[in-house]
Amino acid sequence: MSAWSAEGLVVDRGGFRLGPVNLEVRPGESIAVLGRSGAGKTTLLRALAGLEPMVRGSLRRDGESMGRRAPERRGAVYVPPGLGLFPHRTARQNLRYPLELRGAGDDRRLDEVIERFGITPFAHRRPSTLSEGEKERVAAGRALLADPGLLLWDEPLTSIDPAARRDLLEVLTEVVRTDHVPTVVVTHDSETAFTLADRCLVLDGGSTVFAGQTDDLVRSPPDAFAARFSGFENVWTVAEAELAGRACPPLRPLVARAGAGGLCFPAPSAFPPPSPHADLPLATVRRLAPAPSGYTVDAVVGGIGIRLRWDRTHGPPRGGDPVAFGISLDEIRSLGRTGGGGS
Amino acid sequence: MTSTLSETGARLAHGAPRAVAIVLSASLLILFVLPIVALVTYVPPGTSAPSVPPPPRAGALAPLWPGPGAPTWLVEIAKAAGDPGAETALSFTLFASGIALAVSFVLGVPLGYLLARHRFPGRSLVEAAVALPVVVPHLVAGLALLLLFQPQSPIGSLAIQLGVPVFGTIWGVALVMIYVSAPYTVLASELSFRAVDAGAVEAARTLGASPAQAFQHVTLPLALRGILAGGILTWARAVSEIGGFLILAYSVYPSGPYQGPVTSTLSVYLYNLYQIEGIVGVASTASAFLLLAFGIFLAVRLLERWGRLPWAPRGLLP
Repeated sequence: MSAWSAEGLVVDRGGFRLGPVNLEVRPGESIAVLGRSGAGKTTLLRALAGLEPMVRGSLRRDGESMGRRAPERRGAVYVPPGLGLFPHRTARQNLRYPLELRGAGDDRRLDEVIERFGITPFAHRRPSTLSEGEKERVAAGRALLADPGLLLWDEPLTSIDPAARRDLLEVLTEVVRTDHVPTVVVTHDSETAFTLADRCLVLDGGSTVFAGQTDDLVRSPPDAFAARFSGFENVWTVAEAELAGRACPPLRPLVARAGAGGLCFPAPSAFPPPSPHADLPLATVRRLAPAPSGYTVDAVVGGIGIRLRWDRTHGPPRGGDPVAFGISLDEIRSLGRTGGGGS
Repeated sequence: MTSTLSETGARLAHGAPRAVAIVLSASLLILFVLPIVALVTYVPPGTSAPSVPPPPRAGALAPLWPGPGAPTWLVEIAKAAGDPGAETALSFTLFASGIALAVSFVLGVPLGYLLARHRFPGRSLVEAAVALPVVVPHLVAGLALLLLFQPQSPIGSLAIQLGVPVFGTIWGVALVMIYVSAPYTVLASELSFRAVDAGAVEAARTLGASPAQAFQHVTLPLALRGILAGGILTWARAVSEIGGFLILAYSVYPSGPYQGPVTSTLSVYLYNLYQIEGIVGVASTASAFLLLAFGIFLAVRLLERWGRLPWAPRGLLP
């Protein structure tokens, strides 16, 4: 297994410019590339695979330059969105393909992978007859059989139901940790990103917005996109925060914390307004949805939407009801960067 | 009351247009099929059913030869098919169309690939040029080829020097066939290559396949079925051509790979027969040609459906 590093990587793609991007991934490690549609995530993966020419920068595998190598000579296996399985071959023949290319006649490893990835029941079937989860297993197995020096997976586990997704996530995690394959995934799913990736790279409009530990991303998201991705239910721009602060004086200390890109905070707990309620912020209920521990309440404060949690012990609030909520300054994160606002 | 009304409404909404569509479709199909039935079952006036059919002949159309008790119209067709002139014209046409099909494939499939997979300046012009032979009336195409290849022209004299004269030769016939039919190969291959999942090809590359290997293992097998279907269309268009032949190769003299008696393409042969003998003389021969063409077409379609084309190993077609 090898360590890969990209420095100042730039791709020009008919009016769209990605980079410069710096990236480093070592054996047994994985990176999640995040960002809105059109941020350049797929372009980055394709450039690493050699499917897209880079105009500047360097790409090295264990110090050896890879930037000008053809895709088949890089040892970086790319799994495209849609998985790129061969429709005219059975699952087993798909898995066998990388072995055939190397002229390996021994099917022992093939059988091992089929067994290990749970492909045995459908090994003789063509991809068109397989479920999404089964196809992902075949794609993962096929990539592994190519002895990848780097695994590049564009949106794994996208159209799979949550239960099957967890199983597959385990399969992928194993490829990274047990087989020590350095991995870069593009994903829109935070569970996939946060379970699989040690580090995250957030792109917006072709530029790097964040590069660092996944934990740091969640603790202090750089912009609105990263905040929503990390699970912050409330993301306000500066203007929104000011409006809310003007309408509701108890919120003012909170508003003072807004950075250039606004602020974000997890859904605060809400409860029936006590009387007198002078120091508590109040919101008006718009609609609510049942949740495991009570209700998720969408409310407004000063015309700005806010998501709250409502405990079941109080009984459900009704639309138009005023509710009070508690919010501590520790929960507020300032967003340093404008942009990335798309939900 | 209300429910009855809405039920009627539903029936109207869903039932009526479908019924109309069925009637209109059936009318078109009847228009397609009825003339063929009239032609095939045509018995020239004054013909009586022979008590004993003539003995079978070995020849290209031998499979069409009816056994005892066959209906009169079928016996007539068989008799016409056994005519040596028709047999020569038929085998010549099949031979020439084979050459034309091979050339169309060799030149047309790569062009289809380029159009499907590459962006280059002048692409739209190339696409327009490919469509040109389809929209030009074929008599006009024949005239254009005539001007280009007349012996006085540089290209015409070059062709004669190279030993491939086009007037009244198999080369001329093949040239016309290629001109009018190769666009179908190009268009079919372009569509087929375009339908191949680019992700699968790229995945193959990063799994270690060279561009040539990815083409051989992924692109070509996936596009093959569509390309072959285009080949059937190309062939059908080539053998049914007449306009260009009337100008460039009305009669065909032995030259190059064809060293048989003086003949013509089957379409020109039928046209000749019609000019001389009228419908009475041509109906049976035309029917024989029609049945053969239909038989070949049907056979290819069935083989394709079963995935057992002789040139495509089992499991190759998706």
